[in-house]
Amino acid sequence: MANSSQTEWSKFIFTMAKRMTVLRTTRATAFWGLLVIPLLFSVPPAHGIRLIDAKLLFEISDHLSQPSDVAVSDDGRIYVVDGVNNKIRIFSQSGQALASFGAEGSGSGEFRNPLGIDIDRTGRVYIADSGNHRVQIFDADGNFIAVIVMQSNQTHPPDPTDVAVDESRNRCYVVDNDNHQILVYDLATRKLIDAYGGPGSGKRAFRYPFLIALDKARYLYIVDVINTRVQVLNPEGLFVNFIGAWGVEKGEFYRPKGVALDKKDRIYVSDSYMGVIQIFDSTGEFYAAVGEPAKGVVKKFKTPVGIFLDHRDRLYVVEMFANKVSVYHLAGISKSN
Amino acid sequence: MKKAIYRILFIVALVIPFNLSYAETTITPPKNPNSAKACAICHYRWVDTFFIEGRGSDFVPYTSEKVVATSEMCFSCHDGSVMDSRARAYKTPQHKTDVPPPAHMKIPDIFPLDEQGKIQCATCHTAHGVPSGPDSKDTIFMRTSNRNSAMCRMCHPNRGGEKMADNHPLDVTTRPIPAGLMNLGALSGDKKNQIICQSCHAAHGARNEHFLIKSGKDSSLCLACHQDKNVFAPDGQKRPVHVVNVKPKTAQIPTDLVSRGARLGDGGELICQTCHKVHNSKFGPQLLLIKKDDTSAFCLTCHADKEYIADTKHNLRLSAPNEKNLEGKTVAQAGVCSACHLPHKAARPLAAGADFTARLCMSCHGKGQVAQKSRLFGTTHPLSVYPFANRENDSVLTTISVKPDELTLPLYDNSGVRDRSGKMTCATCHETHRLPRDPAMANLKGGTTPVKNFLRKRRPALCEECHRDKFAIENSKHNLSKSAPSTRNILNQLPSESGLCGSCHMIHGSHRGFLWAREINSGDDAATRSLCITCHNATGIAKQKVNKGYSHPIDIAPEEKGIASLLPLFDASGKLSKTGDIRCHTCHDPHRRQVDSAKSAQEKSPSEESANGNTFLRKSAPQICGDCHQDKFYIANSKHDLSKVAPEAKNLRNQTPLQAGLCGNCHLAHNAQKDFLWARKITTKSDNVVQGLCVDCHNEDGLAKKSLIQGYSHPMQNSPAEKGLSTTLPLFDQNGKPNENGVIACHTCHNPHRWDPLKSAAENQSQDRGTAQNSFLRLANSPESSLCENCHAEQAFVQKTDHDLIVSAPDSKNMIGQTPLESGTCGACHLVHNSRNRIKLWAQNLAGGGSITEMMCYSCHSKQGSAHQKIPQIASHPEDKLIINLGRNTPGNMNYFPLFDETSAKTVTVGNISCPSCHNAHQWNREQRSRGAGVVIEGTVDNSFLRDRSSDLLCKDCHGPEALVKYLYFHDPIKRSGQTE
Repeated sequence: MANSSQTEWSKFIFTMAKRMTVLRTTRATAFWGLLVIPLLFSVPPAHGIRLIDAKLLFEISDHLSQPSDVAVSDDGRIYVVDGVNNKIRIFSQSGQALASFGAEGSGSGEFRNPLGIDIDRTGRVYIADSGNHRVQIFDADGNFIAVIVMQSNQTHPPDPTDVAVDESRNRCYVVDNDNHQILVYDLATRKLIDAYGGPGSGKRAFRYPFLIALDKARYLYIVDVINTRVQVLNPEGLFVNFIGAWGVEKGEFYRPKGVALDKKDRIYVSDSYMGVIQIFDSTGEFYAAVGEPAKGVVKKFKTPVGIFLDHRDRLYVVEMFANKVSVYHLAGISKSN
Repeated sequence: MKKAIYRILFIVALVIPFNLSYAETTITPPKNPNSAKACAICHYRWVDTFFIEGRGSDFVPYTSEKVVATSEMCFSCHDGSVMDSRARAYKTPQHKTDVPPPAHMKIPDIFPLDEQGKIQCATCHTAHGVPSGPDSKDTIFMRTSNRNSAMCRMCHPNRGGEKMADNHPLDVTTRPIPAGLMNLGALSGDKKNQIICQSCHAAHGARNEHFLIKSGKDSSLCLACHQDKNVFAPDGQKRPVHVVNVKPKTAQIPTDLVSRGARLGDGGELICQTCHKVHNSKFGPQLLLIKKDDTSAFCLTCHADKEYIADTKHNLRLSAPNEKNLEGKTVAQAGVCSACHLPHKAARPLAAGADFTARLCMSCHGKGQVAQKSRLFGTTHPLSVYPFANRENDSVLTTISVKPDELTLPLYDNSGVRDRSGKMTCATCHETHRLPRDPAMANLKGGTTPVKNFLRKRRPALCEECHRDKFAIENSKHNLSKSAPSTRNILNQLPSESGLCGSCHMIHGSHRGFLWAREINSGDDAATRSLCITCHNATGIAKQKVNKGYSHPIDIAPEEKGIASLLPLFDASGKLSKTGDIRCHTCHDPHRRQVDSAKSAQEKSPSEESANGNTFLRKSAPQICGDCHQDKFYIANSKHDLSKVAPEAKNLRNQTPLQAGLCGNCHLAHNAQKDFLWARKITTKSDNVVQGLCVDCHNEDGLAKKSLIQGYSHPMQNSPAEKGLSTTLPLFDQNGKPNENGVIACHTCHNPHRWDPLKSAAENQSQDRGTAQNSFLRLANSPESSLCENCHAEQAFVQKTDHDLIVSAPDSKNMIGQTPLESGTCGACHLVHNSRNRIKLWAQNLAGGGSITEMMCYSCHSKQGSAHQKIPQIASHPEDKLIINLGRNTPGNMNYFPLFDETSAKTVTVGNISCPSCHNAHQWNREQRSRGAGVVIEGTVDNSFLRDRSSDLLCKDCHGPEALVKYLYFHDPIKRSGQTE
């Protein structure tokens, strides 16, 4: 439970104690004070933060092992990257297990610790197959279609941790974590056509980019983990904005991991260490946190990593260390400004 | 005073932090605090909000405790976002954390425990780690270098191999660490092929027990390096080493061994670590669980059931005390087991061969080896065979007769491991360690016969395990313990000593097929006959049962006779062969006196002869005959079926037809008195053997006296070829043997086994009247004259002509009262048997006429004859005009004009013209050598059975151009009134 101004409370109580002492504190008063005062140190409600109401719909665990990312197809099927098991799990929109595909290995349809996922409008599933240094493409049922073999002339072998598909440009963006760049591949030829960024902390520079999302205009939102920010690039790779800063306050990140956008292009960012999901407006300003307004508390997740928002205002949160995916309905999101 | 105390207490209550943080709040002041992001990104409590401002935020509470080295902090980067250590560090087993080290372990100060004294990640790891190797990539944030597992041994000093002899060695080895282990994460020390802790163990990412990179539960880790200890060599050959990874079947692993540290596989399998203790063994250098001594105590710990070997010849301490194994040790030095077994190598040089157990046995029992006196010379019971697969083997007469689930003897696979679907090996019958003495065995078949030679059971109970079907012999004369108890086999054993089977068979050391155990003195090479003749000879123990006289042929192949036999046939070596020869064993099963083994067992006395003489026959007679001679079974229900026509008649054995059986009436397989295995007393003499057999019944005093051959019959004992005839009917020599250059005999036309050549004898035909359609004829002779036509093709053209009385006079009868259909076309005029007329065997009553030929024609062409509509007014040429037909007396020529002797009907060159001079009674049209149309036709000068066209050539030859005038004149009765009678 959060405690926003414990010092102020301490001062207040101390002042009151002095007054009580001056007022000749009796034993009874002291006794009751000893009982009552600790109660005053219970965590006060969050204040000054807009909370977006998240009502838990269901949780998906089903022998997941440190899942990393989640995506939902237009027909409502939930795809979870169960990377340690080298599988992609498919669930219904109510969380029932439907199928899975993948196995450990380097062949077609096999994975080595995949991390990120995206689904295009046709239902094709794109998997960032990190250990195999490639992106694999499957149909909605998990049948292998194609592979994008990544080659690198960088320091490290390609380390794809996420992928985002831009159908309008027939391309996809692949996050190369160890080489701190974003690679652009043509989907028709599956050839590399561009690379954005490099190691560093400035504009168009990254330190361990991880997950990525696209807004309606196909702008890139890349979680830059060690730089503790989300960097926004336009489709041509030009710098647009930074979102977030370093720290533990609202609008700041300690371990940003996942990113998603809602209908109003508000940006949701998960912080796996703080255990919260913050919401920023399209300009990059802090807007809200996912929480429980009725209780006035920020929602705490267990190592939230990949997140996804669907058209039904459902928020899917991969809680990696808890080996589950939690599904919430966000109330009021379509109405709030 | 009290007020002061209460004030103090009050203040304390206010001041005590009442945070609800994730960790216990033991506040340790930071040593080098730095709230810069580069530090605070891991040192969480150094975040300015906490450290400078001393508060929490809207998202997280105030944190002052050290969480930098907690799992959560490490995981926040090692979750794939910076480094993906999920599988290695967080999923797979790893070095224990969050537990205090055992009390006996001294943890160096360099490895800090957490506030509770527990091991955490930070105990070994630090973000400010030191490199472990020369390359920076070896830097894995360890607190100290782990080169050559030095760091491991700082906490685990008693696991290394250098100083402690009771652990797996940690040192340079002669063999490299296998690539397979390296791929799993095994590490070598700095020196080449140097074993270190991490060659087998991995603090992170090991998926097996005890943080092993490869499991020890299936011995795979040990065998990865110690490949020579693997049971199977890379080429698939089995090594003579102790098995691993198998669940013990006969061995018992005592709980005491387990309590000492013996480990088993997940399914209870014996593994390397069942005997070996990798760490803290007391018995190095083999790292054994139990001390290895010279009494094989370790072996007998599990193999207690093998202790019975101690007082047998297989204990070489007793039988060959100086014999050394391949390690150069005697039994006295290394223990009783060591003579034959060493855990990881062969104890003896193995013999060649495919069967593993046989190779083991032959390593001593082979030539030149320590037990060569008992070597397996000669022919041996089959080994290395799949007994149940061999059941369908068509080259083996004797196969296993029990079902797989009935067999209690063990079978083995090629590796010497017990397998119910495996092969028969030495160990199937022999227990080399000798079984414990089982009192129950005294009650088994074989009684007092001692169990010797390490056999699993007494004989013959051992034999009966597989060959149950042979034990009907027990109640027969072939049980020599009953019929010849004082005879001896070639091992000089009495039947009471050798056992039921041993009288005739010896498992090892025979020099004959079928594991024969008796002296063979016949000099006969035929594999099976010689075995029988061993006893069934004039001086043998079965001298009362010797073949005398004529017996069924043996050593011939039925296939050569066109016979397909259902009985077993044998090649020269005695093996079954579909193209083989008949031997004694073809018909006889020497192990079964009665076909019905149940009956055999019930017989009170085996000395009683079976009434049907089916002693040891594979099938009852006559069924056994039918397996080859099925075509002879048409005799049933015919007139030659004596059970129907002469039920009281007896054969040579004084057997009635019912006793003798269908075939036995006339044939005896053994001791017949004549060719064709004749079973009847021969009372007549005949120049021809075959004919003699027939006449033996078909005589005035014989069984077939109603079917005699009297009068005049078709010529016999003459060769068709001499008459210019050819035939496909069988001809015979004087001995009755078929001979294509032979002569006609009864059997030429008759098949004595088949009444009707076309119909089978479904019903009783014994009373049927004989006609040309049956009568045991080989070919039906009516309505087609198939039989006669076979020789007399020229005469066969008479069929379907006016002279075929089936067509022209179907109601007429020959002299024995047969209609043409009954007699056949030929039989209407010629009788094969019992004609009253010698000439042409004429079957009609002769009518008046000048010559015999005219008389024969007038038989029909007369008012009383069947051709009364065809009577020539003047039928004869003037008789006193002798004609010379030289130049016209060659049959077949166009001008053929035969003359016949008036009395004998033989052809002459000077004589009178008679009917057959001009007419060929068997051919309607001289130019058409074919049968008729099957209807009566009014003839013309172009046919009418004339030998030539009478309108031109026939008369003019002699009478010149005046022939026609003279014909009209002489054939006009008025004009000839003065010349005709």
